[in-house]
Amino acid sequence: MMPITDLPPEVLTHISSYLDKQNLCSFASVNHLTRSSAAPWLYYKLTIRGRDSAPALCSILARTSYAKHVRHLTVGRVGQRSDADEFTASIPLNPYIPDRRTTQSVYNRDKSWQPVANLIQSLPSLRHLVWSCKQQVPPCVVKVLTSDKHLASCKLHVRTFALRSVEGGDFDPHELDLVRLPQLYSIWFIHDVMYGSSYGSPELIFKIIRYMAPNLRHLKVREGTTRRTSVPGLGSTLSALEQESGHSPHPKASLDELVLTGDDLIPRVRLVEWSEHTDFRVLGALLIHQAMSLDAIEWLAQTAMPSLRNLFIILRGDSPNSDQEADCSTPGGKLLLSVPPLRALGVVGQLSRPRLHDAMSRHGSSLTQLDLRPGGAKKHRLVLGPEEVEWISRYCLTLEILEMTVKRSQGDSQEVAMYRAIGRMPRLQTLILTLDSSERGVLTESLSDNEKDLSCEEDFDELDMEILDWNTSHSVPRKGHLRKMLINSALDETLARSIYDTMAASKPARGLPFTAIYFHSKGGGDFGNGIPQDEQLVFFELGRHWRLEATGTDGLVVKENGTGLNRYFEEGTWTRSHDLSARIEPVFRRLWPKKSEEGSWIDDWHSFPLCK
Amino acid sequence: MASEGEQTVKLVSSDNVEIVTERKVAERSMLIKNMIEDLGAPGEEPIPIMNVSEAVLRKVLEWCTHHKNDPAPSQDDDADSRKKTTDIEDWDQKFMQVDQEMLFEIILAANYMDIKALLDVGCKTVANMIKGKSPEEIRKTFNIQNDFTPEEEDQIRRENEWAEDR
Repeated sequence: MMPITDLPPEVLTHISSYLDKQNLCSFASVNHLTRSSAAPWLYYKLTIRGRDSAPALCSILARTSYAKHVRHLTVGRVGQRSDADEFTASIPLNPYIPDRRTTQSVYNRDKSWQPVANLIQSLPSLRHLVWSCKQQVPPCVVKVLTSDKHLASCKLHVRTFALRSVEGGDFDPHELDLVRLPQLYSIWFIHDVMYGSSYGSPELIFKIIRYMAPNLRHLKVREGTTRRTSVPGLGSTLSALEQESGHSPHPKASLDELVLTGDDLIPRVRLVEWSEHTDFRVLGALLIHQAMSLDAIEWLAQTAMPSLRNLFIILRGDSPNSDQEADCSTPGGKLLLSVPPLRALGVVGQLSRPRLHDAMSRHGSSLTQLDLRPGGAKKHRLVLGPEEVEWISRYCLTLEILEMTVKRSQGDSQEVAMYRAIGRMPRLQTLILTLDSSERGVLTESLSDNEKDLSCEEDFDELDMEILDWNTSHSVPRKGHLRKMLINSALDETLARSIYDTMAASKPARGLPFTAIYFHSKGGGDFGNGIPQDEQLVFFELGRHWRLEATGTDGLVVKENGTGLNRYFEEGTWTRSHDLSARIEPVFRRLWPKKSEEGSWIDDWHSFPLCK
Repeated sequence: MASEGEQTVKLVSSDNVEIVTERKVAERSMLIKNMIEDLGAPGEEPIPIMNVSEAVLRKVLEWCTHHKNDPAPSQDDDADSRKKTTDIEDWDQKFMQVDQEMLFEIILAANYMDIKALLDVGCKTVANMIKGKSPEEIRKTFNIQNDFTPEEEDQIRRENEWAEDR
């Protein structure tokens, strides 16, 4: 019989390209042939945590001749999840805060970084160097990037960008060399005086992208609450640099990707300022993980961005917690129609049904990624039900990754139709689905402030009709509403599998199968005014999070993401003997009677099946 | 004159069997497509497929027939970037349910005949067979001899620690 090792090495390498790190390591440990075939991918992307590990890696590369395979080297920390997620974390927790060492100490420590510089120099095919250390990029590293010809096309990504010397109002020659490197391609920059990054200001970043870093294309800025507008003494230094650059009057920078993140509302003037310094006509990605003022959204809608392919916006209005919040949906909808057909779109917050429909018909056919999550107060909140999901399914035929929040309706035929519509998307492989069981009256978009009494449902019996004692001020829910909410919140493994099966069964014949589906439950106990403390744990217990992954050999693997109440038991916040409150017990026990006298209610509940 | 879709071509396998097939089907293979362009008069002269036996060639043509209307593969695929997904559509998955010998023969043929999409499906199928297995289990599955010394095995363990997940 022909053994696998008779396949040409390039085919074995092709096979290796489909393996993740763990499987690749196993495959590479089989024999000499698989090892050399797997090496191009095993060594494709490497990380050294600190400078001390550089010599060991150097000696392996020298011994194995695998140095030529290394395309991507990260120096410093590696994100636990996605690096980008961690950068958007709030400032005190942010792992990308640079240290506060002086310029002098950067020079003093340069020698200790030499092994890292040697390593970089020894990699002939290096395409990406990611600097993720709290320390400044040392002079010896800048030196090899400048002097070595084979590193001329290596892109430098600095995730802890800061200039220490500008604090004194004057540029240090080394830091000047760093920002002028032709390889400097992307920087992440935290702008907050309180937490270390006092080095610089928007003014400085603008100067860097326009006059200094010739090939900087990606910029990610995290704004804290303690910003400063200018650095004392910097003005004269910068104008000297401007004159020296000799390009005056200089054209705008041409960033490809601009990511803005922070806690405050972005006013119009901030966006206008950005557009004065970088050309929005060539911008490929604009990701604003920050709420914008109404006039900022309106301004964006009127700004030409013909190259845009990736947009993320939060439409939340000026006062996120008030019913009086402004309607961002109308300008937001305008913005979505003003940009060219996108490949990736994320909208969090408000978007009315007609605006959503318009957006889907414009962008659906080009989208591969879509992220739709409701937010803000109830009035203009984006809510996805069967009809909206049907639009997405019909328009987004090339969608591969979808994240959205949908309303549950006790697993009825409408809800099932929604899952089938999701399943019909032929290329959809990754789905992050949040199942919302809140009852804020959000389903009735026209609900006016006067209609405080939620209408009673047709199928409510006498017990259902009883007024529910809950801490609500806006609505008067009945016990029947709580009963439905409990049904909607109960997400056990059986239901997770059942939803998965419903979606998978609707996949069209030539469609790609799902690889990963995440189910989250939220909104349990929420009638628009928060959840009473005593009832929270019931909804924690019912609203499980699940991850379902299709594997090549073992079929569907179901794992729980976070473990219901067990975490709280371990922390000692609650105990298993915690009883149901009087408010919730009659409704809970109507659905799930006691299995035994001694047992806890935790063992009694289960999900309700989907309608066939 | 017959339209291009109805034209046929004659292929000859390595064991000298002549197979007549639709030109559009055969042209899923870049090797055949280029040969037809070089020969000029398709349909008359038989095209030798030197390295592929009749059984394998028929199997490959079965795949090409099912995929004859697929859009041309995009050219902008970055050869450098690591592939992400090992998803295989249902029909292809069933098509690939063959014994190992045939699977490797199909991969070899796809490689030789330059049918990129079939090569991808074949390699994904093998990758899925590797996934989740220990080195020893992989050796058993594919009947591979371990030719490492204990010292080398130790060294490999240390080397593997450097890899970063995509």
